[in-house]
Amino acid sequence: MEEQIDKRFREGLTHHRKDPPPRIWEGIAGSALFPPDTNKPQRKRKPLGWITLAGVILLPASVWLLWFFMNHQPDTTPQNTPKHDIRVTNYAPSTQISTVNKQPVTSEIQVAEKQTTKPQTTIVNDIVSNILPDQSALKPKQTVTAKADDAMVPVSIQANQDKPETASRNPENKEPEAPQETEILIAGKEPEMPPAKPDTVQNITPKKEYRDTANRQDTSAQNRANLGAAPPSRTKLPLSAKPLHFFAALLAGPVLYEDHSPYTERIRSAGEGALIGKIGYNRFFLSAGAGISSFTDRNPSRLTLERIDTVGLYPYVTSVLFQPVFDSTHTTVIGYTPVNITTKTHVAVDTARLSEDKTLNTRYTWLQVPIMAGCEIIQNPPFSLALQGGMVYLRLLDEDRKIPVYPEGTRITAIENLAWQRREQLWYFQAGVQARYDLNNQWYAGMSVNVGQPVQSIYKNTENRIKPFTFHLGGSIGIRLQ
Amino acid sequence: MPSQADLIRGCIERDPHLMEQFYKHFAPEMWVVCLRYTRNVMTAEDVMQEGFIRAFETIGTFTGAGSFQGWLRRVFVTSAINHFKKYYRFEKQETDLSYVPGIKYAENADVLSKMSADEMMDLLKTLPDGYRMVFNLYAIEGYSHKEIAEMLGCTEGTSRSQLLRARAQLMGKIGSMEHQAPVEKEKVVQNQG
Repeated sequence: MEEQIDKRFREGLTHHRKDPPPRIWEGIAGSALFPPDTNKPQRKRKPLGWITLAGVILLPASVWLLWFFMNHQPDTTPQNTPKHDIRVTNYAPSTQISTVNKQPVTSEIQVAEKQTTKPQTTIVNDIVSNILPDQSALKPKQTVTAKADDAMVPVSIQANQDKPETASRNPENKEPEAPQETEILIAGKEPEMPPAKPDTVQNITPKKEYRDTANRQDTSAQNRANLGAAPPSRTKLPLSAKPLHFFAALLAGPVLYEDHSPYTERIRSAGEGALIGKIGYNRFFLSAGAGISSFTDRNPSRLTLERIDTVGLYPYVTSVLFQPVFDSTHTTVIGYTPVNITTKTHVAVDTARLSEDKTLNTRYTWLQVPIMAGCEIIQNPPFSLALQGGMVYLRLLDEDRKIPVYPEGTRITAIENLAWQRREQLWYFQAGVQARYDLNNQWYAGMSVNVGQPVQSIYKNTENRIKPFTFHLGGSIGIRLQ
Repeated sequence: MPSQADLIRGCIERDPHLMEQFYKHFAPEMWVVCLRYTRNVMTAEDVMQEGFIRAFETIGTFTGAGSFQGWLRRVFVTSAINHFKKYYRFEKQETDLSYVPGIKYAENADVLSKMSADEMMDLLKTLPDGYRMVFNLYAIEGYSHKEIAEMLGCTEGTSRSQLLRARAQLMGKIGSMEHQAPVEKEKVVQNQG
């Protein structure tokens, strides 16, 4: 009988022929064996991919530039230079003023006008009249020397308040009192300490008498108001505080994500771990890294379906998500951890009766290499917000997709038009917004919203170019390891 | 239609037109081979594609000794074996052979002789992967247990036991088909009544 079985199957099947699905040849013809057919009209590739790539790069850059020009102003307060911080913002370029009087003037401040017009003198006198605390005492004798040239430098107003009367009445005094020096800062110019002359350094008197008086501070504020000047620049982190930095971080934790795709829409959790490195300059940064996420899917469909007549349904869906990794030292978002990439399977469901396997578990492990760039647009410690965009490379490392156990005699037939092969290597576009709140120097809470789309269809052997659009909302608690 | 020699020459020279003709000529036969060795259509497509690509790449090694169909079939069988090694394992659980003795072989002979090729294909698909692989190689392709053991990387004993269990399961299924038929007839009669 055994030989009869063998013989019957051999005779019945050896010369049995059946037409294969036409897509098999399409897959073979698309392989590297066949050179591109130049006779066939090449399908024009949509420029959408490049547009998307340009968008994810240019969008953060343009937002950052906008932020930069709207908010960045030079710090006009040199730390070691006592002065009266006045900005003349509506000052014409042709009427620039420079200091010419470096010599100690005994008891009077001279306002000299050299190759200037009357409005310039008026402006300078206005400035002087607003600066000096005791105008009634000095005004009759003050002289400010100003010179108009192309350079825009601080105007130095020298005065000797301690002994104005004495000094003025002793012009022959060989050792005049060191002058008090006041600088009027012209808009847009970084203040610089004028080099002190060797012969006058020892005679410079302390200047804090001006600065420490409440009257003096009020006058300065009033000056700004009178001159229509902008307030001093914010004393937030200077952009040059940490111009070039490198950072590496490890992150592991759970995440929730939502996946919108042709086949599924659900929220689930997963675990991941990644090592991320970032190199940055100011608020710009470029991050890259590698991570592994393992995801176990408990297929609920077999618990909900009572009985269906469609058998062998094999849809695969791939999604990707990134979570931010932050540098807790107030600088930038340092990278984006690939959190969850998974492919899930709806297993075949038999038509005869329900499968005995109600809780089918599948596990996939992917390698992810994110290459992201971006910048922070809001930096208000402990809160910060950043935009980022870039590409990510995915590769399937391990797939453990168990075959369900079917009762004896169950006939399983796959639906052919769903029998597509999933790609094991993918490139994704990715862009999104990241927010972070530093709990302390090490721990932080993060939240992210990202959208992504694969460059190619996630399947091969099919004409359908399925590029699932993915939307992700994630949250994390992280610790920084540096 | 070009001759077989022209098709082979065209494939060696990578002529796209002749390669497509080659595919159309041999695909129906090789498709059945792929279906026999695999569990479902999706996997069969993988094996089919891999087999043809492999055949196009190595067709220059065909020396002309023996039939070309035999050489091509061997390429596809190798492709199926590679797929089996990559994704499947032999069944570890023992098949309950007591399932079989209740079925009288003599009673099955009639059913077996009347089975169509499609029904036999469906029966093969119900076998566990290891059983199906060994049964195909031994019963249909005609390889010995020694050759099968070398190809699959197992022992001859494993090959023998897998074949025995495959036959047992097939006989059991054939027997159940024979027993089911009278029951269905009874139902039909009852419904008509």
